[in-house]
Amino acid sequence: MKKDDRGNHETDALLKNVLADDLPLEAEKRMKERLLEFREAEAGAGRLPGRTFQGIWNHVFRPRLRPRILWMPRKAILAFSSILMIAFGGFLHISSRGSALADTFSLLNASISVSDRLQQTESMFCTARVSMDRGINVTYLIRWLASGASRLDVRRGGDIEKTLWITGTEIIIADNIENTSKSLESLDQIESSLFDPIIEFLSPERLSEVLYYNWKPRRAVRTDEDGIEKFFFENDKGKTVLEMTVDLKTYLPMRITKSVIDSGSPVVPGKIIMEVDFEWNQPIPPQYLDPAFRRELNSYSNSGDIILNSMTAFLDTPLSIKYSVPGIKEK
Amino acid sequence: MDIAVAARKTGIFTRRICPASFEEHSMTVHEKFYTQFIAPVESRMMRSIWRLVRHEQLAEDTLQDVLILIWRKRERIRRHPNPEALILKMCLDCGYDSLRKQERRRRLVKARQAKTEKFSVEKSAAHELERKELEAEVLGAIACLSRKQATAVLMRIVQRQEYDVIARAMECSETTARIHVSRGRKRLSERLAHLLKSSVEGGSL
Repeated sequence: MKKDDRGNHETDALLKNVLADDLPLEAEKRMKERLLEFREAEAGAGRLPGRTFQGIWNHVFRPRLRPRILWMPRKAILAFSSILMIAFGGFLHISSRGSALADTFSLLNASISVSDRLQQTESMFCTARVSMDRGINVTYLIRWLASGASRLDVRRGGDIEKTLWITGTEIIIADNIENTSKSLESLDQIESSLFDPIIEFLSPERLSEVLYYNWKPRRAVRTDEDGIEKFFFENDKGKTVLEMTVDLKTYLPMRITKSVIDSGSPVVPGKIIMEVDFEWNQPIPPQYLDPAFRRELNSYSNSGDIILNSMTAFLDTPLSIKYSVPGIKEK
Repeated sequence: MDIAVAARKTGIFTRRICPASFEEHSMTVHEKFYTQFIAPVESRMMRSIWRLVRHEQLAEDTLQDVLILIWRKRERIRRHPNPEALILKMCLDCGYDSLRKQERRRRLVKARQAKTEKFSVEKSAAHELERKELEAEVLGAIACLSRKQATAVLMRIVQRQEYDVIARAMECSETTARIHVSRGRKRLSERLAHLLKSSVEGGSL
């Protein structure tokens, strides 16, 4: 046996010996309890475990941690206090507004507030402009209702190329150019990469999760406009910057811009790769989100009453203007 | 055709109709995810975490972290060609993080631990203390590896995964996975050389 092989063999043996598969019964019992709690409670309800206030509270004040808290060194106690303040949504003012610590808490508090408010919205209409490779720009129009229905239209050039519907029980993707559609069981089955940039914006809940877990808040900038503040986030890979303009009256985002980080400068936006504008809690007629409505339009187009292209005009109409479709009576 | 009639016919989801059915669907989807991806590997998850952290409280906390991570990344897990390997890799990643935190804490309270160990010498059997010291050395050495090397080495040696599985879980090529394992092993050999030598001489292995 070569010297290296013998060395590897001995190292492997040492690791297997020390890191033995000898899970004690008590440890196994505790971990099984955790798994059961996870499965029955939060996972069953579809909520992210620990994401609710109660979940955060339980995690921070879990019983087995309490004896440790009493004996923590001062630095750890300070860190723990900061978690407390965040968990309560507290806002610490220390000396002046310019204090770095106060700004950090303010930023974290704002980040949590935005995440929370997103989950309380009734409707969302967002327009995203994405700069793809080879200078191609794609526009995405997303409409979402609190019922869980949403619709995404993908436009390249002047035409709506693809449409994605998500209703309570089905996902339908339609190719408007080839006039085909198919049902999917999950978003993972989408083959086209055209939807990739926008998946995280399909619903406020999804956006809230992505903001909360994948984007680290870095700094906040007050704008000249009253009641508007900009927040800068950096993603967990450190390659892109997200600039979010927030209406401080509602704590909902008005605009999100994603940029590539300017090399050499931390958290300074470089080239913009995506811009998303939002309208919240505006009335959206349910027929916008009903795949069957498209089929209705198709059937009308076959009879010559409506040309299919009128659907494009229908979708482009701002929500505040009522659009009447010839041949269809509205109550 | 009247829109309201069309709506009723096609079953447009309104807030009145949808919430219960949508929530039922959500519960089914999430429960399905657990049953499909987590339930089959529960035992391996617990054992993987234990083998690395070797502390009851820490193992429990690490498992909680793993479950949150799995939940966050559930779409990725669904799409992955080998979801089981990915979940086990996540267990090692969280275990590695716990290990590093533990090492930092251990260094900070070294004086206190020294007093505790003195007390332990009086109370514990010699071989138990020796075992604990050996464990601390090995875990300390693992904590000093880079994350990728630690993950690759542990998946290879402890979980006994094939290189192609490791590569897929780590989202790298098989060659890269082999390099991570090789370099990780080499660093561990260097750091634990004194243990290997004494083990060979003492015949404890």
